[in-house]
Amino acid sequence: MAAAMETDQFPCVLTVQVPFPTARLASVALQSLQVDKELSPLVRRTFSTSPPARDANTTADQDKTLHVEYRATTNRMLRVAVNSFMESLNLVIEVMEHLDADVLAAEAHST
Amino acid sequence: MAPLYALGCEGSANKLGIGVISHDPETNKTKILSNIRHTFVSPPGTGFLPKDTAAHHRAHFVSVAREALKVAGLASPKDLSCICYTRGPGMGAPLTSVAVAARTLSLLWGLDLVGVNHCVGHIEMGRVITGADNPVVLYVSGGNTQVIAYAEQRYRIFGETLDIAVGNCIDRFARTLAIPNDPFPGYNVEQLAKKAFFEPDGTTKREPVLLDLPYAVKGMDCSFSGILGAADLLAAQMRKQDALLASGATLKEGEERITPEDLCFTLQETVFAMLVEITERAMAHVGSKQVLVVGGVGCNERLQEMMGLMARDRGGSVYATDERFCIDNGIMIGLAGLLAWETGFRTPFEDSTCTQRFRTDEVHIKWRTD
Amino acid sequence: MATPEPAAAIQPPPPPADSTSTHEFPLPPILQHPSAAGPAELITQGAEGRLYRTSWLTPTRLCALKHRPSKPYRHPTLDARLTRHRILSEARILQKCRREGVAVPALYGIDESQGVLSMEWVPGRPVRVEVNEFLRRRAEKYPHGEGGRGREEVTRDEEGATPLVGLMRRVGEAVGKLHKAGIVHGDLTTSNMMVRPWEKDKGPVNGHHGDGEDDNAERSLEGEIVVIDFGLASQGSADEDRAVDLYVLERAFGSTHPRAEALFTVVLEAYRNTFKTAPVVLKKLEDVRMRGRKRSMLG
Repeated sequence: MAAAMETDQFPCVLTVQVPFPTARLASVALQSLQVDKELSPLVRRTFSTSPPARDANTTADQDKTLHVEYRATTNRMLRVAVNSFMESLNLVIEVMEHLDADVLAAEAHST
Repeated sequence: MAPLYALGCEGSANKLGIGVISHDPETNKTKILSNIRHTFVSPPGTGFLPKDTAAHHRAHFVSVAREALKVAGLASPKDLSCICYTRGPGMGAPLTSVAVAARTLSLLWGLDLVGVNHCVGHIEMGRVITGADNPVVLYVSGGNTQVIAYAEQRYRIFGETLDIAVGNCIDRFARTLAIPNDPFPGYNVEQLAKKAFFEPDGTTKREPVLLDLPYAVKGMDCSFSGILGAADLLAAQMRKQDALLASGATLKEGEERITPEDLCFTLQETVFAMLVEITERAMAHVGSKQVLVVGGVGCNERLQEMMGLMARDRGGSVYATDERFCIDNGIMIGLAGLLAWETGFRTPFEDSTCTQRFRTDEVHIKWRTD
Repeated sequence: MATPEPAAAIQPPPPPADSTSTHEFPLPPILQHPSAAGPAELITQGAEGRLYRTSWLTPTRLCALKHRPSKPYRHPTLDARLTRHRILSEARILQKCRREGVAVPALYGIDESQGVLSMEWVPGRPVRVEVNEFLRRRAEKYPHGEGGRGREEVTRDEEGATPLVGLMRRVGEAVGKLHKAGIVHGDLTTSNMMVRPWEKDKGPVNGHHGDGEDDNAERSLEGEIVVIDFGLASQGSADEDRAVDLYVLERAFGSTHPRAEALFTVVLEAYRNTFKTAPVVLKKLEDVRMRGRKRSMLG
């Protein structure tokens, strides 16, 4: 019933699945991004690295994926929240690409 | 025991600063390994908006962080003890953008996170750089104006602005005059104020004139918004004169021609006199002879000079730093964070958020035992 | 600054050279005069003026002479304007306070061109010193680790706090009386209030003198509050100005005596009963506090 209420009040929904090369990186992204609370009461969101339970066809790759679901009262609110999420996600991925320990070690080795 | 290393990340306003600092708990020696900064400069006449500033920090975080690591020459990020980031006070969106990146680094490198109070960072950096051990601190920037003295493991605020920060007053007046924001508005106001300049006819040299502005000191507190309003009115009067002269008319009998230099000079002389006065009052009140000036406005040479004259009369000295350390930077966050880390302080990952309001006296200064 | 600035050199700027520690000032001209009465002793160097103890008319009548030297850091025009304004206003307000029965030092003489004001010498010590002495004695009595009370905040109900609570009440009453008289002080701190010992036989009728072992020490908290230093004072009865006056005192009190911060409520309670619109001022004080807390600290 609660789920039905959610859908009624927050009819605008967007789900994003972000694949990462490893489960570790997916988990890093999840943790880094979920600390800041969603400020607007008009937006709800869920992050996870395991697929929603209703997905039966689970594969080994599932925990390498960041599952994100945004729900909002209006499309405008949804757009604002998802845009802001994308900006942060982009930064997290950039940091992984250029500053992860193995990346730095490989560079130090090659110079 | 070997020295400890920390990475500091600052982005509470329009400067993104990242640096590596080391501190040896046994000898109490501090060393700066790198101090990289990238500033978001908005066009003349405008201020920096939170959204654009956050976008700037996100866009430059990786390159500034890589430069900081490269210059520091650490063999591996694992040599660091912790990642320090600015928890507040400051602008929400820019603070958060840097916190997201700091969290990612802490997970990637397996290091503790330490959230730092920006003001405490300024104070600790100032103490280390200048060697002032227990000064009265004047902290002056675009967001803060505080007179601070240490007692019983807290930096206590003795005086502060009752409305806007002094740096904000200067920056907004620079906008009124459409003075460039590069490198920063206060610097350009300072240059105009100290210019020995010429009358608009280009011949007669004259010194800048002190115009009438309100002077607003209440004990160890002060206020700046009335001064800004009065200065804006003088600027409007100057523009009227410009228009009048351009149309070929002449000024009224006895009316002095106002110049931007006069205005900048007057604003500085007035607000700095107020700052020096409240600082002196705090020094008299707590019985201290040292004064340390920190924060972006603290690198203004006229303010430093005035503070020096005051301190000399009290048989004491002023301690100030230059723009590398005065203006927001990463190492000040690294230093204050590392000192806290050494006492066992950690910011739990799930609490590693930011807060726009974070008072200097909320922080337990566990590393000082005097 | 389009590209990252190059790494800063690591040399910190050299610390400033310390001035001589034996710092001496020339006496103000009035005290250099051959007929100057008696020796003058520099008592304190406040933010604005230097206070000398000397005598007035007869060698036995002590007098406080306040000299406001010109401030080298200030622009001469601004300096002259402020010095003149403050010394005249201080004299005027001292007179007004006397007329209204507020305890302040009596004004003896003024020379605004020399920046000199002389007034009655107030015996006793500043409230700041008395409060700190009380806290020091308390910390000695209950050392850290043995119950630990000495390092904790004072509560109004704790044993032995009565003299301090009494002092706080008198502070609140003194500020109320000042406001009632139409004066806003502008620089209320515990340094700017003296505790003048009760004159013989003129103490409060119900003045209690405990029989405790440190009775003598605690008795130093007894006395009349004399407000001093009216250089930033102004005449007015706007609730907003009065509230800011209280706010300045509250903040100065909290940062100067963190361990006695909780007792500031006593000051406000006593203030509430001193004049009719005092409760309105206290309501306004809440707004002023909120403004302080809510103030944006961007940048």
